[in-house]
Formats: sequence, C-alpha cells, structure tokens
Amino acid sequence: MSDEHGGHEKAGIFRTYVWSTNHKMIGKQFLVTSFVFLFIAGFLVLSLRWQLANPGKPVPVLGRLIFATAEQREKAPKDIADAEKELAAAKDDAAKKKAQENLDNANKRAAGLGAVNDQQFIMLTSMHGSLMIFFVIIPILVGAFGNFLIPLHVGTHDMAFPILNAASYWVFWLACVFAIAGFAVEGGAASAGWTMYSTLSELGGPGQTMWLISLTLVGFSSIMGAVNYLTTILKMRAPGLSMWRLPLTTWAQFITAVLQLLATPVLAGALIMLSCDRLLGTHFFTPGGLMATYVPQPHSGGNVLLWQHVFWFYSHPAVYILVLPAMGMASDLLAVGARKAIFGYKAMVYSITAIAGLGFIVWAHHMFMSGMKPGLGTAFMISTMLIALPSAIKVFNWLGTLWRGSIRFDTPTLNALSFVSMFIIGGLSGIFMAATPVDIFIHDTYYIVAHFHYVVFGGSLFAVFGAVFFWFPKMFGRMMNPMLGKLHWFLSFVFFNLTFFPMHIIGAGGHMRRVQIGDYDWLAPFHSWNVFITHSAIVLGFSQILFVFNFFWSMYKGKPAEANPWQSNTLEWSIPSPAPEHNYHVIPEVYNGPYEYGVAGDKEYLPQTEKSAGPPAAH
Amino acid sequence: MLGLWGSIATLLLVMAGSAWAQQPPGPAPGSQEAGWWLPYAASDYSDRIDDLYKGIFIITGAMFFLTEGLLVAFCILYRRRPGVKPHYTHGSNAAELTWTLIPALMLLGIAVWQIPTWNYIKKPDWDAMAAAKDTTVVDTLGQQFKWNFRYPGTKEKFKADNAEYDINNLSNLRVPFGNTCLLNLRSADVIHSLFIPHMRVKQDTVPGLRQRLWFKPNRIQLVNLKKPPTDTGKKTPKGEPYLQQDFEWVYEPKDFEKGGRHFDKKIAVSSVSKYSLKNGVLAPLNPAMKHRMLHQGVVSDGKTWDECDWAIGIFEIACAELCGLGHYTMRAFLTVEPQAAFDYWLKDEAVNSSEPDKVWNYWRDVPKKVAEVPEPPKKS
Repeated sequence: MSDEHGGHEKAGIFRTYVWSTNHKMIGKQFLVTSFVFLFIAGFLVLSLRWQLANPGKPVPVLGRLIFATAEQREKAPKDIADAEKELAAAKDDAAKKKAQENLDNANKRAAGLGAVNDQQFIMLTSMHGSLMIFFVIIPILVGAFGNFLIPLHVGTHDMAFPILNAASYWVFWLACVFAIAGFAVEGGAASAGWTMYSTLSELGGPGQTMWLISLTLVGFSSIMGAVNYLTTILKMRAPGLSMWRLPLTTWAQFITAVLQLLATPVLAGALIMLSCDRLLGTHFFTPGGLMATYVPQPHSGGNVLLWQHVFWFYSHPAVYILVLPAMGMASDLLAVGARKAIFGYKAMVYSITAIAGLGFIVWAHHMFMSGMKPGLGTAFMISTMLIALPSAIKVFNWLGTLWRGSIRFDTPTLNALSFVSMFIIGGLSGIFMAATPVDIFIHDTYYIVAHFHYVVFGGSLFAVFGAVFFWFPKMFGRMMNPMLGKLHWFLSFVFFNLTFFPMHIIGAGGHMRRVQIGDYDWLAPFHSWNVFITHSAIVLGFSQILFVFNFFWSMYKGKPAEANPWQSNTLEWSIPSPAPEHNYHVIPEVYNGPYEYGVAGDKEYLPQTEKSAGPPAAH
Repeated sequence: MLGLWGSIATLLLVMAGSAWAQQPPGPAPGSQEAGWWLPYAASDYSDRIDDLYKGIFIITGAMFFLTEGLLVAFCILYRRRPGVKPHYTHGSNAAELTWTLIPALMLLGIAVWQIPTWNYIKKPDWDAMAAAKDTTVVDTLGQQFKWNFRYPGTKEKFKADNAEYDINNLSNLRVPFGNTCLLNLRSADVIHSLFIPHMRVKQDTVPGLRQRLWFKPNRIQLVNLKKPPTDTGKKTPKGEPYLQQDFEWVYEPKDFEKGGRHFDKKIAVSSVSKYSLKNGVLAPLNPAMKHRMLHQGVVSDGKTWDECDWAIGIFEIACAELCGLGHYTMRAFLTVEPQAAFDYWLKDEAVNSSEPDKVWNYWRDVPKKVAEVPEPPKKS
C-alpha cells in the first residue's frame, strides 16, 4: 500500500490514509467502511433469524451483552436469590405456591435474558434494511468502485473535484456515526421498517430522528459523488476515448450518477419534511384525529400517502442504483472471463439507460395495496412490466457474450456468472408482484423478501465479490488467493440459495415479512422452514469470514501481481499494479473499444492503448 | 438463430406447463398444512388471482429454464479448451430485435391479461353493492394492535349519534355465508393492512383516509369434532406437534337449508371468543362453557361442546404492514357462518349489546381540533 507513491514526494500518514484526496484511497476507504457495515448489518439479521428459529431463546455469545441491559443482567440472579429465600421462608401452602411461582418466573426471565424482544425485533428488521442499502451496497458499488475505477477507466489522474470527493466520504462517515449512535439513544434505533412509513415513523422515539439525520447526510454524500462522477466522465476522458469506447462499468456508473443526481434531492426533501414533522411540529405526513393508544395526537391536515410517494420516488430509482453498477461490473468480468466481446454493447448501454429512465415512473408499484386509486395501480403495473424488458435484454446479451466464448472459470467469472443466474431469478419473481391482482396476495410477504434479496444479494453482492477479486491487484498490487476465493464463492452460492429460495415458498404460503409467527395458526407449519432458513443464513454469514480473511491476508501476503493479470483490455491494466499515485505517467491515447478479445491475427486480446494491426474494430 | 430456438423451447415449455396446470394447485382442498403453493382459496375472486399466479408461474418458469439452461449449457460447451479460439463478434441486430420483441409481447400480454381481474376486484359499483340486500357492511378500524369490526345492529344503518345501536365485535369478523362482505376500513393511529390470506384479501388501512374492500366467501369449513385429529409431523415454534382436524368444505348456502346435506348436523356456532384455534385444532377455551348450536335450521343456546358434532372453521385475519412492536400479535378471526346463525347472533348482540369500544367514539366524527375531542362516555 505504501509503495504506491513511487517517485512522488511522500505525503504524511494523515494525508495518505485519512484526509486523502486521491480517488483510489477514497475508494478503499469506502470499501473498508462498507465491509464493517456489512458485518454489523449481517449480525443484526442473524440475531433476527435466530429469534425466528428459536423464539424467546437468548442469542448465543453476544445476546446477553447486546439484547439485555446491564440492569437486567444484574437483576436476574438477585431475583432468583430473593425468590429462593421467599420459598424457604414460606410457611403455609398458599405462600409456598406463590413463592414457587415467583421463582419459576425469575428463572424464566433469567433464561430468556439476551433474547430479542418485540421492540428489538422490529428495530433489527428496520436497521438491517437501512444499513445494507445505504451503508453497504450503495457505498460499495458507487462509493468504492465508482471512485476507484472511473478515473482509471477514463484515463485521467484523478477525479474532477478531488476535495469534493474527500468531502463526500467524510460526510458519509458522519452519517455512519449517526447511524451507529442511533442504537445508543433511548428506545433504540429506528424501528418503523427501512421505508419509515408515516405515521409509525412520526410516533416513534428519538432513534427515528437519528435515522433521518444519518440518511440526510448519506444523501448529501451521494449528490457530491454524483456531480464528481458526471464531470469526470464527461470532461476528462483520454484522447480517442469516445463515450462509445467506455467500458460498461463506467457507463453504468455514469447512468447511476444521473439517477442519483436527479432522485436523491427528492429523498433529502422528504427526509427534511419528516424531520420537521418530528422536531418542529409541522404536519406534512400526519392527518388530523390520530389517536395512538387512546391518546389523541396533536396533528392535522397532513397526508400519509404523500410520504410513500416522495419516499419511493427516490427509493425506487435507488433500487436501480443498487444494481446498475453491479450489472456494469459483471458485464466486464464476463467479457474478460469468456475472452469475448460484449454481445450487443450498444444494446447494453441503451438498456441501462432505459432502466434508469423507466425507473422514474414505476415508484408506485410499491403502493398497490396502499389505497391509491386503482386506475393508478394499472398505470404503474404497465410501466413496471415495461421495465422488465431492458433487464431481459441484458440477460440475453450476457448469454450472447458467453455463447461461443472460451470461458475461464476463475473467481471473478464464477461470481459474475452467479450474478447473472441469480439476477434472472430475482427478475422473474418480480413479474409476480408487478401483476397487481397477484400482488394483493404476495405483497408484504416473504415472497418480496426473497425477490429483492435475489437481486441485491444474489445480484449486486456477488458482482461485488467478483469485482473485489478482479480489481484487488490494481488496488493493492497483490493477488487474492484463488483457492480461498473459489471456496468462498461456492459456500456463498450454495447457502445463499438455501437461505433465500425457501422464502419464495413461505411467501407463497402467506408468511408476512417483519413478523414473528406468534399465535398465527396458519403460519405455525412454516416454522420448520424458518429453522432451515436460519441455519442456512448462519452458514452463509460465517462464510463471509473467508472473504474478509482473504482480503486482508492477501493485502500483505498475497502473490505480487503483474500489470495485467487478467489479460484485460481496459486502460487501468496498462499501468503497473498497484496503480501509481497519479495513475498515468502520460495520459494514454485510446485506439479501440474496451472489448477486443479473440481478434484476428496472433493477438488474443487488444488493449485499448494499442493500435490494431488487423482490420479496424467495430466501434 | 438463438431467438428461434428460444421461442420454440419456450412454446414447448408453456404447453407442458399448461397440461400440468390442469391439476388442482397446492395443498389438497382444506388442508391447513404448509404446502408448496398458495393457501386454500375460499372467496369469489380468489380463484382468479390464483389463475393469474399460475399463469405467470408457467411463463416465468419457462423463461427460467430457458435462460438458466442456456447459461449452464454455454458454461459446459464453451469452457476453455486448448486450441479452441473464441468467436469474434460484437453482436447481431437480428438477435437483439428477437429478444426485445418476444419478451415485450409476453410482458404486454401479462399486463393486459390481468387488468380485468384488477378492475373486477378494485372497481365494483360500490354504491350498488352497499345497497344490495345480500351485502353485509362492516365498519373496520385498525388500531395498535387489534381490529375492531362494527355492525349496524338492529337499525338499518350506522347511527352517527346513536352509538348504542352499533355492535363492536373486537377481533372477530362474522359474515353470513353467501353474502358479499363490504368493509369500510379506517385506522386510528398508524398504517395497518387487513390481510385475510384464504380470501386473497389485503388492503392497507391509512390514517386519515377511508378505504373500501369487498370479498365474497364462497365456501366454509365444517370441522368434525368427533374424529380425533391426526398428527401432521410438523412442529410449531414452541415445539408442540401440529395436528390436523378432519373437516369438509361446504360450497352452497342451501346445504344448510331443509333437504341440504348439512341440515341435520349439530353444528357449534358460538362466538370465537369461546374457542381457540391452536396447533391446528379448534377447541373450547373452557369445557364448562355453554355453546350455541345450529341444528335443522334452528339455533339454540346452552349446549355443551360435547353435544355438538361439528363446528364452523375459522379463517385467520392478520396485519401485513409493520405497525409497531405488537405487529405480529394483531391477529383476528373471520367466521363465515350459515345465515340463520348470523341473524341469531346479530339480534342477540343488539339486545344484549355492551357499550361500543371507546375508540369508535373518537372516530365517529373526526374532531376539527384536538381540544374538541370528547371524553369517552361513562357507562351508566
């Protein structure tokens, strides 16, 4: 890591690792921060799964520490001792019976200490979703890979606005502080679902406000990043590098930045309005006559559905922010792995653009059951059906890329192939919920949970695994261990499916999301599935340790990497690994598109910086 | 070329799928066991929803096998082998056109196909439905964490200023068999969602808005009390065995009338507050309690549980939208019962009605200002 400064004047440790304006360091900062949150959010969901499989039993190892207060921990043995004393002192039968009851209750309380309670349960669901979306997937895809790759891919020294770039990370870091601090306030962190539907979010405790502050900061961070990416891609491309010669990774980052720039301000507006409701006594999202547990609430005149509209107007495009960069990276990994040009490069770009464009007119498909006018439901159903089309085109083009290729099954390719196969399942299950009458039944069930985990975990996160493995040499100058990489891929792929596929089954059976089975009789038979899912999820969670171990171990002990270990064409592989501090000593000249593999002549691949000897390439 | 083979394969798969789709779906009728499919459907439009689900399942299933099959096939066929060079191509416009148009037509087909069902469910003539003789109108209010169901009692309509005529039936929705049930939904505090899985009903209740919802139960479950329940082999979350009572479905209201199949049966029709539905078994809360029984079209009180041979099965009602820490406890029941039993209950409740839950008094007329919220009336 330290030898990346080459012949330049060495910056101090603080300027190198903390307040760095170098896009590569900021990318790495985003990457490591998101990994930390991946584990926090993963721990949250494993605790939640534990409660579903073992209701009322303490979470092993950490449960007593985290889910019970110090007061409870101290009080439990005291209660038992008191009850035992009382039992010993009891004289007649009635007193004995009462004392025995007290003792049983005290023992029960002690045994259940460290189990997830009802309030913690909904907090875990809410924070798992919020953290995974806003602090893991978006920062990894956009913050880490956007930052690291865009200047390399466009052939320039750094981002257009390096200081703004650093500010984007540190505002994000501040958001992380607020997100974590939320757990420490009275009543715990936000617990109204990651969607924070009014009026539940209005009535909740201070954790709700912490969530709002934290997300507003994330929004600012995103907007700063988006401005930077757009300017860099539009203005700083190397000579000869037309837009149609950009790798799909960078195209996807470009479109994603447009989405972020247009949608995030709406979220910021919504969040500020909700904060005003909570802190300043406005009534944007609260109607009159509310009565929580028989206590009339001092609100009037607001509209509950307004929150859903403004929230989803951002958060639906955000769903595509969660997957478009992954699509771009998976495309690149597949082309390199199959040694073949992307099939229908322009169709790929057009379909990314179409997804982004249509992404702005489908938001209300989250609200089919909200009581919106049924006619609107039909309109949004049709636009939602349409948005499945560009995704289908992309899938067929990925298949076309593999067709008659020469596929090399290294870790990045395996992860990219998993991305495609899991994205197919996530895409197809989406058609069920796009169909409004079917959505009546499967809305708010585990079917939805299965669907978006297939897209966001099965899709995006597998692409991230592949991308980290692929670009690791350019980041740290060493290769990650391929054996560990493949083992991690295999375990993740198998246990991912064992965790999330059964959710389709219990979802079709009507198991609602965000609930414990409780007393519901028709859900009781699903308990065995819940146990199965929990066990798979635990193995899936622990498999990720392999990845993190591989990551940090390879950083110091990995095999030193050559400049172009994957025989890839794009610009970043024309410079040494790790990338020097200012990337390109001389700004490269670009002659080809990024996907010239298997070209005529004796060359197996043709880097973008080399003049073609044979017939001119297609683009 | 790929597109042609793709469409042929898809067509074949769709045909195979349609043959399979003739089979009845999922768990055997009446089974409360968790199957691999949707739960048993018991309302007017539930079959239409299930047919759509089935159709989309076939289409997406075909696409699943097509795309994943090609992915696996390509991985095997085009793995790296010495001496085999990859094919050099940047794509084909004909292929792009094929795999744009075919999915587009399929998606539009699915889109158009479902619109009539959606309109049937969501856009009935509400006024005509509310005025129809065979419609039971129930005011429904969600609050943390229970469902209130209010009936108009002895009067024809809800009396805004005459609360004593209205019957609030907490956590228990009763509907006469053969009637359409029209629910006026409201929420007192946060968003809830009324979910009756077996009726394929789900509708958010939004504070400040009134929602309407209708469904028409078209079968009820008669539980056999005289046969011992069988063990399903499944365990509940508490580790208890999950049992299955023997029962049959009734499809026609006239089966309970003279000459009908169930006319002579002794059927317990008590309020759900006297039963529990636990681990798959319907049982009285207290063996000493007296029950109401329907026998030969006549309802009589004061029977013991053992005197009844059958009982009316219960459908569960849930909340599907996160509404706070007690969200998962917001359980209610739907009883679809023969008309005679429903009429008897309504009359009985109207005569012996207790004071309606105070939550309704706030909601009768939403006050303009908080200061005007009246105190709940004291019981005299």
